[in-house]
Amino acid sequence: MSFEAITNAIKELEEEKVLKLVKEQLDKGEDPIKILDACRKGMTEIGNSSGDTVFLTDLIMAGEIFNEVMEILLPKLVKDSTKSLGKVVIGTVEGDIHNIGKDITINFLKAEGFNVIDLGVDVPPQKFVDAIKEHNPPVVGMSGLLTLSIEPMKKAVEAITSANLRDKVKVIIGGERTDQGVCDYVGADAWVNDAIDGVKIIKKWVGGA
Amino acid sequence: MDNAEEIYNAKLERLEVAAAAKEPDRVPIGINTTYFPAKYAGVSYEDMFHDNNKYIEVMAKFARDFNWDGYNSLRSFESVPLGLALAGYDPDLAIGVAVSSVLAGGASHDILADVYSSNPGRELGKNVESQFVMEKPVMNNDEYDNLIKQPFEFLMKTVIPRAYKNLADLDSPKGVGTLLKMGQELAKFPAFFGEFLGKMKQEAWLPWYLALTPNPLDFIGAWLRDFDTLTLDLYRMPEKVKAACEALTGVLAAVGKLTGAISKSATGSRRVFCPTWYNTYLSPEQYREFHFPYIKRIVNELVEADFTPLLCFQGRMDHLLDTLTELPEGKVILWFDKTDLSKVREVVGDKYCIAGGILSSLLISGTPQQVKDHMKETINKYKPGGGYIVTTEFNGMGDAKIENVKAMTEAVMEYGKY
Repeated sequence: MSFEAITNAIKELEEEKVLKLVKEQLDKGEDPIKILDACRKGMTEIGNSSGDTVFLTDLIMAGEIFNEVMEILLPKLVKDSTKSLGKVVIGTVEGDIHNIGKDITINFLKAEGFNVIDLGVDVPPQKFVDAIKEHNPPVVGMSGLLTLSIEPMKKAVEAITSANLRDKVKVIIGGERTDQGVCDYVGADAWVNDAIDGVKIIKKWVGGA
Repeated sequence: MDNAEEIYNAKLERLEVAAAAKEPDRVPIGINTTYFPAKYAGVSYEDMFHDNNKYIEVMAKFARDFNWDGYNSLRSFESVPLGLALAGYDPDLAIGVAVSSVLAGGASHDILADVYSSNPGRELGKNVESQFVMEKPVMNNDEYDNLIKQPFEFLMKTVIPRAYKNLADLDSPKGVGTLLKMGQELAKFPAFFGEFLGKMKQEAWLPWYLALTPNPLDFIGAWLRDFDTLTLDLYRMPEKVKAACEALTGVLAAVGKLTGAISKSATGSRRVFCPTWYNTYLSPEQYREFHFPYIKRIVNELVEADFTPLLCFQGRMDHLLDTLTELPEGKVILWFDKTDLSKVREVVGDKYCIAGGILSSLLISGTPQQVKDHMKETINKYKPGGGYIVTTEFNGMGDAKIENVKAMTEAVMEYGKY
């Protein structure tokens, strides 16, 4: 019942209530993994309502609450006690310094249990290549708010292809100005205008959802 | 029509008639071209941004070769808070300072060392468009009350030293010296602006917009708190956010009227660019609570003063369309990015002018034939009855292929006639 209360409080974006309930459960000696799962459930349900009754500001607030919960839970979680769904390398492409879409995607990927390697903003093609070599992720996400990020997305995909890594990763591009034409032009596997749709596609690819 | 003045007058008329939701002689085309004129003329973005002679050269060449009804490439916005901080002291000086970065290029960025913009040839590569993203908020969580009570004092004493690295200490030699350098730069502005207007008039140029004003919520999000922190404020301190919007509405309406007057006297254009940004991200309830009421008040004030608000609804507006008909009929231009324009037409009927329909992704990744086909379909769809202006998304032109922009222009001339 109390876990359900945490899930519901997350869904309702009741920041103070969530933090209070999480602390109460910890004090009662509840398993932090169960608390985390309750939070994740709330995040998944928020994601499922995205675009319908949930809007981007709600997603940012949800991400903030989830990060606050993680700050409380992380010291209590035994290392590697939670199973990772897989790795995702993600970054905003070269020349673009906008982080909003990328960060929402990251928060919700983490909430789903992905291990996210955040390359930051203004990421040159070679940095994507290096990160793939180092982390061997099944998925690479490229974000970009502006029209000017289309060419750099194309260059980053080309660099991955030249390094003979293209068949090892799925590439998803995200941003307000992307569409199927841009996806084909860039040479990506999927495109999204919406962060939560991106999380869903990535889950389908590697999370078995 | 072969002399510049006749062509200019025809453009002015065409845009005004379309804005009134009526039928002009042809569907007008008005676009914010950003750096495309530099790309077209083979000049680097860095040179267009920082070199005023190059700016005039590429703008004039583009006007001559494309002859659109309206276009503009305003440069940056980093001096706006400094201008606004002066608004209670000397409105004319304030406007001069604010527009110095908008029209006169990168000098104010270099002099002030602001935390807002990244520019070509400076923080960015020489052919990368300017971007406007704050490094971190320049207003703290607990400072809303100061902004609400004394906005100009708060801006000058608290925000300015944080927003401009070279004004971190206003009492220091560096601080005073920086202001004097800004003064020297402002003194050059009238001569540059006069030369710019003179050259552009020969090309029958009309701006898509020259005047502008932000709305309170977007101003707070772009210049004071940054996007993420203001978003959290909407949940954590909604009453403070609304009170701050309230405190800024009057002054931002005044900015619109003052810049509108400059535009009117310099170019004849009564359009005042009113960009909206947060709308995409807000729920309908949040939009009606934090954003739209202040936009509407600014729009009404501008219309009463005989200006034409050019409302640029960035991103997607599909979930907020019911608010559009609360704006004055036939007095505003409703400009959309990715919003479904046919739904907009259904909602606003033939009483409002709508602008949009061309996706930048098509101009970048499509072929001239695809552009032409898309233009034909779009113009035929929205042209009947008037009140339609062809435009792209805000800042959507940067990487467009030149042949596609030519195809778009030809299609407007071919299919746009009434």
